Amino acid sequence: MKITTSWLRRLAKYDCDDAELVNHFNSLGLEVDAIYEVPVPFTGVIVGQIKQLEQHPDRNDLLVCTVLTDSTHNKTVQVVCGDPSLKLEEKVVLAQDGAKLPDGRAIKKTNIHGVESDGMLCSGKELSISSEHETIWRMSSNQGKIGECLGQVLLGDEKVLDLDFTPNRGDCFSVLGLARELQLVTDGAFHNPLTGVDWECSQLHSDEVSIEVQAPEACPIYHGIVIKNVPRDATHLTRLRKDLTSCGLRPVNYVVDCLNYELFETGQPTHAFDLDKVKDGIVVRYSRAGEKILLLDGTDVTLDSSTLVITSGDKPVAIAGVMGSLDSAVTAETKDILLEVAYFTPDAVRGTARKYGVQTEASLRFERGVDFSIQLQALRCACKRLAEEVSPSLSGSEDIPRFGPVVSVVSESHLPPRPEIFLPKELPQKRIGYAHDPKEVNHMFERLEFGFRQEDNGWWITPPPHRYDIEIPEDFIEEICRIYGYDNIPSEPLQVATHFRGSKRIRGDVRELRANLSTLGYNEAMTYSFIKDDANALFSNSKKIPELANPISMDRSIMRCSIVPGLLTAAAYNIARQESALRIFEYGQCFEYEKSGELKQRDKLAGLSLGPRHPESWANNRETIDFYDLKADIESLLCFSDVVFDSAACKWLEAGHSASVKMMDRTVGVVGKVRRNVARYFELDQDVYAFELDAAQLLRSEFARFAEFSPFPSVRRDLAIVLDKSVTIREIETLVRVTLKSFLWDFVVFDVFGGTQFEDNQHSVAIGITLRHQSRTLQDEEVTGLMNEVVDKLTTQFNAKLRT
Amino acid sequence: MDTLNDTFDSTLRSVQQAQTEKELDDIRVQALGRKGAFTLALRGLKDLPKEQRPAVGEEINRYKKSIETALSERRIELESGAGENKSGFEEIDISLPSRARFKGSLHPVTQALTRIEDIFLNVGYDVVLGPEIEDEYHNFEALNIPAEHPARDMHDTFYLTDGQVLRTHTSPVQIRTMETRKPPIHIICPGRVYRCDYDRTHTPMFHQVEGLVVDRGVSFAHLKHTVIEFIHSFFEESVEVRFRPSYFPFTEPSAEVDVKGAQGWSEVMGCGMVHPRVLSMSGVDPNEYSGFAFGFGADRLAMLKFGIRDLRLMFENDLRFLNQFH
Repeated sequence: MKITTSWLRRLAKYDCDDAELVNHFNSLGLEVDAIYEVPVPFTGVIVGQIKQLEQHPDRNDLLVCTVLTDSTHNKTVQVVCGDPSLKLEEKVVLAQDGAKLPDGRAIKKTNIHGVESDGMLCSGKELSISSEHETIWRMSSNQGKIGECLGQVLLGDEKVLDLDFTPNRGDCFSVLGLARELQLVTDGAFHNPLTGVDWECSQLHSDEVSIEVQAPEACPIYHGIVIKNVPRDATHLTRLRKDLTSCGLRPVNYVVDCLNYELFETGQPTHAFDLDKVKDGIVVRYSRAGEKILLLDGTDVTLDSSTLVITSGDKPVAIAGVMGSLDSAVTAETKDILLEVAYFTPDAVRGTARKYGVQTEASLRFERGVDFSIQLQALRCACKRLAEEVSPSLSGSEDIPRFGPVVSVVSESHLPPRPEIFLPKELPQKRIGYAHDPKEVNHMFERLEFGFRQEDNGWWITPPPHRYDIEIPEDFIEEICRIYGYDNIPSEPLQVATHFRGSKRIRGDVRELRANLSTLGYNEAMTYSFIKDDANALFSNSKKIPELANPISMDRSIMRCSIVPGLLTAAAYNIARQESALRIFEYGQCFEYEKSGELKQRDKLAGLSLGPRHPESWANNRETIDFYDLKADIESLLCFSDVVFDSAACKWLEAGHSASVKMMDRTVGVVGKVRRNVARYFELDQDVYAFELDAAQLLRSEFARFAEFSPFPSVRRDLAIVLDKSVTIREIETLVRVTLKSFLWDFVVFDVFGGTQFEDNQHSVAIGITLRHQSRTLQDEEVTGLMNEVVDKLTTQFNAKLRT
Repeated sequence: MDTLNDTFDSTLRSVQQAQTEKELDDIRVQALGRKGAFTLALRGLKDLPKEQRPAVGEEINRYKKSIETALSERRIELESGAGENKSGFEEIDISLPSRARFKGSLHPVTQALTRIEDIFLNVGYDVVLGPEIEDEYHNFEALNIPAEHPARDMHDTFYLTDGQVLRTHTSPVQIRTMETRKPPIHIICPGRVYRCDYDRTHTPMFHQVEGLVVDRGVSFAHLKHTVIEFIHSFFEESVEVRFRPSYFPFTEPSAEVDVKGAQGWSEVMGCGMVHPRVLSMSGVDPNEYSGFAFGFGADRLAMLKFGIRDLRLMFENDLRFLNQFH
């Protein structure tokens, strides 16, 4: 909500500067988003003084004026002007060369019938500061200095405060509410415009409109008054409109502007109907499904069966507390009106504005709760304003408004209850950690307008009708803190009892996994958890998909089942920005429905790698990465366990270039080359390798167990064999292990190559075998015997030939 | 004797200046060899009066010892290559770039979260995690945010087609903890949260850390101390901290916390005393226990800590960004 400091000053007595004012509001929990100068609709307009007046040489209706613009340096400008009433020494407003006026006109030096005119003298209307348009605007002799900007003269130090309220503080959406809050900390007085309205109207009539409230639980108070002959000339509202526009409200017409002013000042929304359109009387009821109303902002609404509406002649003329219909609205021509001042409960209005997509100043206040004790006074204030804002020149004439009797329908039993709440004496100290003097607390409650009675063991308190946020004892405690000042509450260390988290140390801790990957050269990425549906479809195996009902865009509508699509998107993003090498990983939750229909949310760890194996350097080769690089990365990442790679089918990995990753016989993830069609979907043309692991399975809690190792020397033997490519290294290794049993210390493959010297489907594999005995030194003959056994088995089982 | 003293001084000087083994040998022969100055001096003892002999002899021996020590120290220096390189090997250009490896990095949000977790783990809090897709009860109702409550406007919630929600805060984890654990509770709940919002300081996904303490006698003064100490620990300096009244349906009293930076105050955290209704809904007796809760955006703290101006950069994964956080 925006509010000007001058308006606030009219209701609140305070003598602090703007910075302190902002601090006060912030410390009260009424956050000041911004404070800024009141915007003026013109630039380059200054105060000047007429020093010379001459007749225009060619035109009788024009004057040539010399205007003083700088008294220190005695600078003047010459302007041509058509107001014959100008007199010497009068202070006027001058739009200088380069000035901009509210209607958008830019003022330039011109030549008017042969005479140079260096600017323009302006009327009040031209500056939107009054309705006067026939004469040039005069400043009084003590108003403004020569050369001073007009904005500064008119507004002085006036500022606009832009405040942001929390949803529980509907009572602050008015100048009155803010003035009331301010006095809590300034201890100054404030003026409540609703008390002691001394207006009695003299011009009366007896016409009234019948009012029937069929839903008193939603509308406990409804006052209506017929006002005839309402003023229509809104030019009388200069000051009022300046306040309204400063606060962000658009001027509409006389009646609406006056009512908006009341709304901002007191927080009570009111509504005016064109009397002709509600002659059949007012009925407040719930809408029937399918009923229609064209709202005054042009929104065409089809109502449901539970919207509170104001009807006349069984036709909705307003959505209660939100907006009236276009048809029944007051226009600049309307003569007679019905003024509605009602109290709609928060429940009746809450959600309605959102449901129909129309937020208004009225709905904002009703849904947060309006003071239900002020409607009659607010009606008097509104009538007084409607009558008195009219120029005094009209009083006594036929043109002043005439007021009928107030018709009221009030159901007190449906007003929001304000039960007494007990605040135990010791509770504030217990919750705040600081003891306030009970007298001080009493004083606070008085200023808050809380009804209370003090007993030995505490207070019985009744919150006032403008407060909807006081329900439990803690709410009073917050009020005490607020007034005392949060920053004044002491700070005290909390005692946390020691407690042990159990004996398990999670070895494969997420932190360790992340750190390992970073050491391996991977950058950690963070991608959005929602992705495009067809991207997800490339990875998902289940029919049911976790889909957002209100995604931020269609590209982000599905909760990911895999992190890899996000990494592929990030890869493409970087490739498009001239990067050629990329290693990224991400750790995060993924979402997938099980066959049972249950939604599983699992933490996954995924990585992606593409481009050269090493950064470019004199010492590095230029090879690009392949499957075996990723395999090594995973072995390093999961170095705390034996990892086995098995061939397995995966929807998004190339068959024959991918594997499942197994730890202790459990599959924990997949690794391999991303399928071409998948990579292409993400606009990646090169080979992309990726892995994805189920994070929960990587966490291991045991310490490794130490095994005694042999102190005896080892013996190494190398074998080169030629055999079918279809025999896997795993099969060869298994054979060697089974044969050598505990003699085997280490097994390496140090060369694999094919070529024309071999048959098509054959290649050469060179293996190094290290043997060692647990309790003695191996004998040469013994080693030869074991190796012969290995060779024999390789020959018989795999048809391998020993190369010599 | 004076001449012998001069000889001693000059011998020591030449030992220090010697550059080769050969030079040292020559010096040794000259000073201590059969015809060396000190050998001759010892021989000359017999020409001295008897009563002077022991004192002079002792002094000559001291000189000899010092020279021997100096010689052997210098020899070691020369062998280990101290001073200029005389080893005879070819020098390498150590400015030639390395056999480079790719340098990885951890995301700035991860780094911030790690720091935050450590601060709280060190004072006895537990880190508790929970699901990102939540039911409405745990995300709203259990936190005293009934349907149609205006506070739901504060959370632009993503709904799934089956009616579940993407959690708008990590508070549901606190509820789940209270449902299953008896006080005292000291936890923080870090994790991803989601709200429909996108601009320079808002992304539809971000990271939140929420803290919860429930015990007997927990007060607002405890909350203030916890928050201030945490902020000082995180920023590694005594930044100015301010508390302002605010409103959250799940705390009463509630506060917003600002820290003062170069650009004035900026909001970093919401907090308050846990609403008694929230305690009782989760099975904690509010007459026996009280508690406080606080919550903040880890991304936002990371932005302040690392000097990042645009939150959206965090999730673009541009290498030019990620490579700044090795």
